[in-house]
Amino acid sequence: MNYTYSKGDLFETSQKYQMSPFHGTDFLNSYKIDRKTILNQLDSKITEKITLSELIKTLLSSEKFLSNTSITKFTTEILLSTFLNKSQLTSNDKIILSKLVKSFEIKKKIFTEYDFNKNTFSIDYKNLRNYILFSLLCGKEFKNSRNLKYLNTALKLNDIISSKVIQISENSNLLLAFYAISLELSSINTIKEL
Amino acid sequence: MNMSLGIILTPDNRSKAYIQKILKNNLKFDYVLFMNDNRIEKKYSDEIINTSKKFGFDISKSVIDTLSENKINFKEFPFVDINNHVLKKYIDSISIENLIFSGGGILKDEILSCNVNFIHFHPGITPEYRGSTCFYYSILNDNYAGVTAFFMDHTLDTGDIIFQKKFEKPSHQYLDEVFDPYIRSETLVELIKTNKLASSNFTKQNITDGETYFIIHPVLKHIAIMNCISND
Repeated sequence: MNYTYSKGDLFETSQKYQMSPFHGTDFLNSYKIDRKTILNQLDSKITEKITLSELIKTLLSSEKFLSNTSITKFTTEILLSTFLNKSQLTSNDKIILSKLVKSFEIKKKIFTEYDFNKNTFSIDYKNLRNYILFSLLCGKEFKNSRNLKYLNTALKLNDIISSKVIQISENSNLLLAFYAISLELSSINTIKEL
Repeated sequence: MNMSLGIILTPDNRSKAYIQKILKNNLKFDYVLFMNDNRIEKKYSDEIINTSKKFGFDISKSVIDTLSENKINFKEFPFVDINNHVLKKYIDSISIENLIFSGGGILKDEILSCNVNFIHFHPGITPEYRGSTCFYYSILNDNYAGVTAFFMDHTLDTGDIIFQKKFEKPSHQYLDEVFDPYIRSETLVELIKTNKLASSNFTKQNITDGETYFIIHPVLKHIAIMNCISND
């Protein structure tokens, strides 16, 4: 059996996940194999390994860093990097994160910019780094809160990332994606030994 | 005092369970509305059919067959759309206090403006479990599932709570096909039998409390189902 949810161009044709059929243990095995294959592909292209926290810090140049995250209009990459740099999210951060989760779950897209006050977002949704950063953030939030809503979103984000793995070439993105999928697999293992 | 109660059926498993359980329990609706787009009935395996029968309804029997065989008067609409203006016009023309919603979309302002309470049986204990496919999340978190009967309002799963009921997780794999209709229909039957609508003590929900979930990913869904059947 093949894990099919990470196949195809998921930017253009998103997975709906509605009424997905049950295939028993074979399905979970195929999922695990698929994700491990993606991890191997990423690992083989990584040229320099640094820790996730160092990686996030390099993404956050001082002028980019968001000092006030109780905002509703933002560039997604900066917001996600800022959140990932925090050990704990504030209640305001969590409100923004919940809005992003809702937006993604409805549209299956992460837009480059959002304005929640006007309920608008940019046209561009093809920056894969945003999907990777958001997956990491959801994975981290699941680890902190054990709220399955975040693991659920991370799984869907990682399906998209997996479907685009061939296009990932920049070392930082390769590393971030490696960390994101590793975090998902270890999170899944905490609820079910695969 | 009994409140008048009707139901809006749709051609799906939930409605099959609702109407069959009502008949089995010798209960009645004041009005039966049936939104029927004449979709082709899905065929189910013997195992699913037998499981559904074990849980009090026959998944292989269509809503229209149940209505016809039991000579139930019903008003049929050739669409499945809760916001259709023809349906709204009909609801406005009848005298009914409560209507059970079975599906057909998200209620918009216009249909909500009808002089009737729409009741939904949501498969999750609110406010902890709002949104979609909640029983899977509840099984994963708490090892049980629940249903909340509430009056529908303008926001998702936030209306005044009439009644909540918890269920043990099933020991079979047919959660979408059998378990979901089963828990909702059991809650419906208990709501009517115990005359819960006669109460004036409905529980208000705080919109900001709880959690809203989204369609469960197949991996989590599989883990939840494996969790159910591994105790066989």
